[in-house]
Amino acid sequence: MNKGIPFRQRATPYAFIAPGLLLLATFFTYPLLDTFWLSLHRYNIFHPPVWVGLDNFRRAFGDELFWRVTANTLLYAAMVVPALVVVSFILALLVNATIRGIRIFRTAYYIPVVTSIVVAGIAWKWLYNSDGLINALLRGFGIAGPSWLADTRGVPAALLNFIGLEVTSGWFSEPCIALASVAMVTIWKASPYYMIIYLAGLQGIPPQLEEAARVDGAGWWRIVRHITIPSIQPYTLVVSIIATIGALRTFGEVYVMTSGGPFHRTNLLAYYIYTLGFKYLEVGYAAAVSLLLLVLILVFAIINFRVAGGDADK
Amino acid sequence: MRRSVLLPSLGSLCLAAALAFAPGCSGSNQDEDGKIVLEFWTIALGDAFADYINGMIADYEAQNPGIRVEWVDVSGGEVAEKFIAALVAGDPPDLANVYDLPRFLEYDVLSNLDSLVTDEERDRFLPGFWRGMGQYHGANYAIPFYASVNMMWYNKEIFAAAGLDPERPPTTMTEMLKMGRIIHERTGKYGVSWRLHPSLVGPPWVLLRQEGIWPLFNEDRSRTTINNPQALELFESWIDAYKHGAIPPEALAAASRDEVNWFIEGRAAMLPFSGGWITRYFDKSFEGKVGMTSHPRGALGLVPGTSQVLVVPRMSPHREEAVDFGLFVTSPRYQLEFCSYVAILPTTKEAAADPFFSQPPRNISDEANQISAADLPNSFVAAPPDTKSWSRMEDILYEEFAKAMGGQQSAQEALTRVERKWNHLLRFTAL
Amino acid sequence: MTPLEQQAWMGRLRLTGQYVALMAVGSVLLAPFAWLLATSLKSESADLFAYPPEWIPDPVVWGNFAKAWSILPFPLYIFNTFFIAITTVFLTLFLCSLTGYALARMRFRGRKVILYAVLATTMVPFQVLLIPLFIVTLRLGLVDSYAGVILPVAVNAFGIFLMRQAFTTIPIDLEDAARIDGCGDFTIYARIMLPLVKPAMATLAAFTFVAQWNDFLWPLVVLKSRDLYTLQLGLASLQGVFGVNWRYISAASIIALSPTIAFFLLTQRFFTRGLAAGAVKE
Repeated sequence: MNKGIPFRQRATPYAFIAPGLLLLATFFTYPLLDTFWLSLHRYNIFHPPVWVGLDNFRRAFGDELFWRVTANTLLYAAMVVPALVVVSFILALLVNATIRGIRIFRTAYYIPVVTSIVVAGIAWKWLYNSDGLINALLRGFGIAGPSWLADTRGVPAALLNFIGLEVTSGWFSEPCIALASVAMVTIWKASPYYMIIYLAGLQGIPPQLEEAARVDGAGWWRIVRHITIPSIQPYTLVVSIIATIGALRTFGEVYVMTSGGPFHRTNLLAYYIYTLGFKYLEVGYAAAVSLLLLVLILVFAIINFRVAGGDADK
Repeated sequence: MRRSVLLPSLGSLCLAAALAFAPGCSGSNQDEDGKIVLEFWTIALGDAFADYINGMIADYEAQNPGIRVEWVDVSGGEVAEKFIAALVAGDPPDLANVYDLPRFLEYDVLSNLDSLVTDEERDRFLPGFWRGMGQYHGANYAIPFYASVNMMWYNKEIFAAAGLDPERPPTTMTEMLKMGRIIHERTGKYGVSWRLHPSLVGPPWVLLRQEGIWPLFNEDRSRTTINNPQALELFESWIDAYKHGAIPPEALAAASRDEVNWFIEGRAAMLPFSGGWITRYFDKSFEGKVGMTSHPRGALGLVPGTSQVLVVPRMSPHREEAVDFGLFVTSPRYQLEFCSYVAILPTTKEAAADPFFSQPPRNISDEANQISAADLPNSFVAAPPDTKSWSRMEDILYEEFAKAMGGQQSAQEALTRVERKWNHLLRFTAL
Repeated sequence: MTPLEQQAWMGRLRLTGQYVALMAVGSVLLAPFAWLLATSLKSESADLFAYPPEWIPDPVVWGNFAKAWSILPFPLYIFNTFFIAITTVFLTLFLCSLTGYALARMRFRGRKVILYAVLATTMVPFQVLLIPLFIVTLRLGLVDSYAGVILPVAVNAFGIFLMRQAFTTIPIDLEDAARIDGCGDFTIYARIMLPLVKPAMATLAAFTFVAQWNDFLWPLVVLKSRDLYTLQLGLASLQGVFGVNWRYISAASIIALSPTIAFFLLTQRFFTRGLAAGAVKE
């Protein structure tokens, strides 16, 4: 089918991608294959691996904690990803203005991204404590706030209770307040990051498009809705995919704030895998769980491509 | 045509494979002039202690011309990751300060020191610490580096505000929880700064040991004995204390050192914790409020202590030299020098008996260290039980205990579940 | 009021609204940072966790910064971190744009598979890859060297993906025109296409710089000599076994994060609309 196209021309794309892929293959694909190989073994690092076939995967499916943690991770992504897509877009719209001092604002907004999670975690814990700053502010409105990182009541149930409806757990018990509070920190820390991606996209929209619409009498919202959002579609895809991947492999927030507690309600897959691998030294099992996480992420990435972009074939 | 697709991926695979099987060039064991090189890891001592460590190394090298010591200061709490990676890659340190030992003991990674150390050398150490953190099935796998005996820190201001006598802190664990409840009722502050998640200084199972509910397993470690009336009573008292605000709600979801922060923040009145070195976190303003006394007693009458340890990986090609250097590092002279820089305790008899620990204190940290040192004879080392899968068991205990505190189950249910899960693990790993 | 005056007045109102919104959002985003800054300036006798919080310490103590500066060898750590971060930025920009360009603008077999495979490399938590990655690095003889820190992260899937997306938004006519003029593939990439994706490049540069600047676990595992240590390793040692007071940790963290802010301010120049990008669509 490519007959007639000279070799040189056919080879060019591969020459372009070779250096990058070579490094990726060495430092990521090889370790990834290694992980795959390990997932088929019982391996505790200090003794030779023992072939166990798919036992590690079977074990995961029977592991109560694995399901709890997977559910947490999905709930967490369900909170974080849409929030990040929307919040970072709004932030980008805000700082896309061409007004005096806008660079200062952009830089200031970017500070959460560059603050180390260890230090940020301390500040947030101080805000979240049962007698912390957030609750002190709420008290001003006569509201008794919870201990944000330790409360396992469901957010929906708590809200319904607050407006006077008595509900029992069941459907209203997920996600719990503690998990939502951890998600808040991620949203805070990551939204300026995605804001920058959106900003690059917004800067790429030819100003003529918006001006033309404005001349036609379109209002702010109509311009955003009909010009801005469609124009930055490729960037939305980047944001949603990267945010999904990021959310599904969140580690630092859990590590520095809750250690997965209370009783694993804020435990996420990456933290669980870390515990399995480094604390229990069950490396084979940890590898199997990471591959399950990879499948999960892959599924979501594909869904993202379909829903948000669908331009992988373009 | 297919081939052109496969080419780059195959090429990359080949490279990866070549790398994987390339001859390893693991770290040098000998340098150019034929000296033995010992790699020595410490945890995050940082620049503050660089002169001390470098001086010690210089002394050792002067006495042992055939040896060069390379010091690696591993920055954070993540020393285990680096240690494990180095072991797997076949490039381990020769002597390393690591913690959370059960996983390494279980998989037989460390050198048995009983066979590498003479009786005389062993007898230099306080016996409790030698048979301490590195104790596994009757042998010792770790040199006690330095120690700390837990003590009681309390906030005099909060005591006064609660109408309690700031000069009469609790002397028993029961009294501590009771005072904690009173403090919460009267001031809205929390009583005891304590967290449930496994930690080095105060893991929850130590509560059991303090009450004499120990050991937790039968003789051949095939079953747990944790589900008993005394344990139930203890669990219930702590669950009750938690529900009545004696303990901050965040106790169920906290990370490393949070309990120290809560105490310094003035959220909680009492901190049963490690010794004098935590004064490094205090401000002048806080030093004025803080009261110090010995750790409250449980039924056993002893208080928990811990030690940081040095281990020699079995994989090290220079185990004997490494042990020799390890004994040099922990010799009384250098232990005392270390204690003069930071308020910790020595693990050797000679250093522990030094007048340094009975001199008039220069500052609050000396004062704390002396309170802590005075309890050395009344302490037990909070070494984890030497059963397989202990890391998992500890997390199970945390989970079930936390659920009971969070009101998800009763104390009895928690104990029953712990018993069932532990027995399952014991059966599973016995195979 | 004339319509013109009315318009000017509306403009001013809108501008004020914009500033108010920017400030309001900013204060929410910066609250934790403000606390950090306030902590770093508090005196020995101030209560760090007081409520209501003391946002502007009295007295302001700059000495905490001097003290923090003296606890760590900052110049050495800053040099190491800077060298590692800048080298990584250049490598990443070159390699990711090259790969991303091919994936976006060239037609070849396996393109889609490669894209997915590239993306898949970002999907496993780093903690899992740590050990195999360390083994590779050791076999290549890169342990305890700058290269050992840089090379494994010099190319990342996110960068490739971002560049690919940026190249896809550029109209095809421009490339065709260049081809008719007889430009080679590399020339088209380097001379024509790269300048058009400057904002995306700046984004990637800013991200890579920050990621390298803040990376902790990998440098921790791969480095041994204190002479090569990075800022984050130094900072972590402040919270080590014998930590120091929060005032100094806060001050040290602020010293550590200020270069990233400076770098961001610098790269911002490129975020602004490239003139060419505007001209293309006309």
